[in-house]
Amino acid sequence: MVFSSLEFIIGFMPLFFLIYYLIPDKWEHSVNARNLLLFIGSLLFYAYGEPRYVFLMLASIVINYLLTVQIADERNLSLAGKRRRKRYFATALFFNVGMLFFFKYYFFVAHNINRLLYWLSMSADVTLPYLPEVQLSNPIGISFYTFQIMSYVIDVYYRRYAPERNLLTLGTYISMFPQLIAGPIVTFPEVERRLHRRRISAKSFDLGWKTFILGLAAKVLIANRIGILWTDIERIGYESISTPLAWMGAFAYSFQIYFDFYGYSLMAIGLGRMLGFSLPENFKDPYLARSATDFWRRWHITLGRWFRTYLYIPLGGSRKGTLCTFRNIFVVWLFTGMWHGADWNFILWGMIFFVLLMLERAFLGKVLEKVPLLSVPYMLLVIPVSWVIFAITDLPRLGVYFSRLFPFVPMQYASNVNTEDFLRYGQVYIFSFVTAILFCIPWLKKKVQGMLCKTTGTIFCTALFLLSIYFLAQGLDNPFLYYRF
Amino acid sequence: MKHFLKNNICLITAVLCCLGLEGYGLVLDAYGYAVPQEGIGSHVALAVLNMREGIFPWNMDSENERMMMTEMAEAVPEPEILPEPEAVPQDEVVAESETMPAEVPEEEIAEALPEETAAESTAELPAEEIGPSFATVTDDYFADAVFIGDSRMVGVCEYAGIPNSTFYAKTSMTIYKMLGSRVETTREVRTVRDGLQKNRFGKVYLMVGLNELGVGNTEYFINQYRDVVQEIRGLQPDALIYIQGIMHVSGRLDRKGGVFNNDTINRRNAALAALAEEMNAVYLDVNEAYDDANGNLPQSYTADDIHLKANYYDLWHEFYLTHAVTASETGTDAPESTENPESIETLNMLNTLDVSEATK
Repeated sequence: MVFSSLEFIIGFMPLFFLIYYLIPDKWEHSVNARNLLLFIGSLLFYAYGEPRYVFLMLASIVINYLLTVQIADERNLSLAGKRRRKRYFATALFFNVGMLFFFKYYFFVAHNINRLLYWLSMSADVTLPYLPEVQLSNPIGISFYTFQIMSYVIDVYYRRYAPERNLLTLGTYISMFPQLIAGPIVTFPEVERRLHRRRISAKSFDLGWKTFILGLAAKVLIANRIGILWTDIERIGYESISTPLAWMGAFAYSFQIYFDFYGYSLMAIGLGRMLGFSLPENFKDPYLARSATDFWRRWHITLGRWFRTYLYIPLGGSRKGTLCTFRNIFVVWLFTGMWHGADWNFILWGMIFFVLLMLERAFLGKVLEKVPLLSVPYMLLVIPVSWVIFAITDLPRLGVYFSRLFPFVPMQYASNVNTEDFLRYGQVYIFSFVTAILFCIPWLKKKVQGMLCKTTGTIFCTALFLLSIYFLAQGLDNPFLYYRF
Repeated sequence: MKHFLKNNICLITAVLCCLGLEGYGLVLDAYGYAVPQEGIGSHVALAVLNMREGIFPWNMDSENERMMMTEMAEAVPEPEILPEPEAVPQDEVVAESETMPAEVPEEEIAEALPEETAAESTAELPAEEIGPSFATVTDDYFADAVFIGDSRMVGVCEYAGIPNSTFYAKTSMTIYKMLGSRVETTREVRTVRDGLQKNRFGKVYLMVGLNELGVGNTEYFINQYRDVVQEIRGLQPDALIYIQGIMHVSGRLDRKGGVFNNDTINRRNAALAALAEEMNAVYLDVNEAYDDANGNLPQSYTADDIHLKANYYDLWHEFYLTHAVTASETGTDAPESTENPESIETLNMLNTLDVSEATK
């Protein structure tokens, strides 16, 4: 189930919150009862679309719970005790990484190894055994909750905090439906206090609900609308679009993916607030970034934070000399690319950011700092082009799209191009573009945030809600871009 | 509690609105309006969709046409007890289709067989071997032609490269609102009716039907189509009208078994062919140019299973060029002879199929 569906808004949400608030505040087991309800509700929320994989998540919770408790209980500081501790930790890591690998990357890796084997056997004229290519459907949200569990396991191992002894509380932390499917990737201390004791005021609930509506509107009224242009371009075929339309498409996709993901994160924060939690922000005006480095400080903040804390710094960060830093950044971006999907284009996408970040580290960053005006065309190039690489998983087709973006390159695949197509689509999508650009301006966002608690905010949000329902009801298919991760 | 309500006016309004929509949706459902999809929230969706069409609680009853349409869609399982007076009775359709083979000269049936192959092959053959009606023409033929249709026609306008002709096309155009549709492909006229009143055309090409697949049944569709063709006749008395069959969807979409499937399209196309004969218009089936071996739109031609990629509209242009009826031949009743025997047989089975469509 996704937040931006009628099933969720009209079915799940009212029913869940009604029961949630029927549990009396003053009862001594109130928190446990609410955690239990939240846990069961989250499992149902997850199982609605994917009934089988809910057991995978449950298994993951139980196994990680047992191992972290073992790690913490190993108080024997002798060599043997330390070794046992390490063994539990390694088991937990192996389980989590292995599960993620098996469900998300096995097919990709096996397929490519088989291609290599095929090529070898052809050139060396020997028969080699092939790996079975099992293609499993991707369990929804597996990358998100596995990363969350891993952050917990690693922190417990390094004694940053004591493990949670209550399985229900841990299960609630992992499976909590606001962040289950598409983040933000929450660390345990961020919600721990509230998992043990929470009361929420009527005002806070109202603010949460309004935040949810803002997120819903970002998704339904901006991302979904402007995203249709991208499907239009696919329908026409990349080889037949004019260069202006290719750029329009790249910008449209950039806006779509931002408002989609930003909207989803806002909805998560709003729902979290309605439940009594405060979830971390995931975006900070990423399209106002002045460099690629800056962009990644503003885009999907909780993922960047995860990679910094649990990969970059353990590898040595930037403290072990230039060569080591180079390697660490490379590893981080290889994994960041792969985290987003098991395909070559995602690796290419990660590598492009690796190169850009290295360039900015070397000299480009200083240039951009000295000539701020230069960063505008630079980012206007980097953002849409990188998202195009992200969007098109098929490399030959990506090549076709690039030849349309940059018509001066010698390799051309253009055929049957209507040179005036951008005028027609421009007319259709001008309104969506203007709205999208407007809501990238921090001033406007601040205004909206500021008026939320006033009467104007109430009217504005109600209007947005009804408009969103109207568009949702039109039954336009509602593809959530980050759904497959 | 009171404190909570006072601070959550936004939530309360939203809940009330949803309850209102849900209630209205339930009423509409009870009145027999078709529910768009099963599941939670479908009644809210139903209420919203009808309000978009201008059907509000206070004018529900005045929208008889809409009511009838959805009633028909639901009543398909028992077509013989349909409560609509102006529709063609079932046995009349049967009679029509049964008499048709007799009208078609036998040698023409035999000669029509090559037509089943792709358009390229027919282009190579001399016109009189295929059937007397179709000639190969040049682009000048389209100078006084107008092309009216849905998103697929918009695609023809943009990518088929037919010069100097007029397009009154609009995405999501349906036969129900065809003449009132606001034209997307030219700025010279506002609506299709407007354009047909202002200008004189020698040929009118019609291509709609895909967006109607989920609404009403074949009979209702054809009745509406007949009315539109009659009105166009009135506006353009000298024009030759081409009724085009609905282009197939890809096999992938067909196998999903939803509203958009090629069985329904074939049924409606067969009925459109019959209508063309009845109205003395020309029936064109562009699927002859596109179908793969299984009678689907080839997967490589489409990215969304419904529309052609820009690259493949050339075939359509060529199809038009090789399937033209020239002035000297319009006087005869030749157009009908272009039906291939297969479609006539399909027409014969129209009734039985219609029932199976619904029970499926």
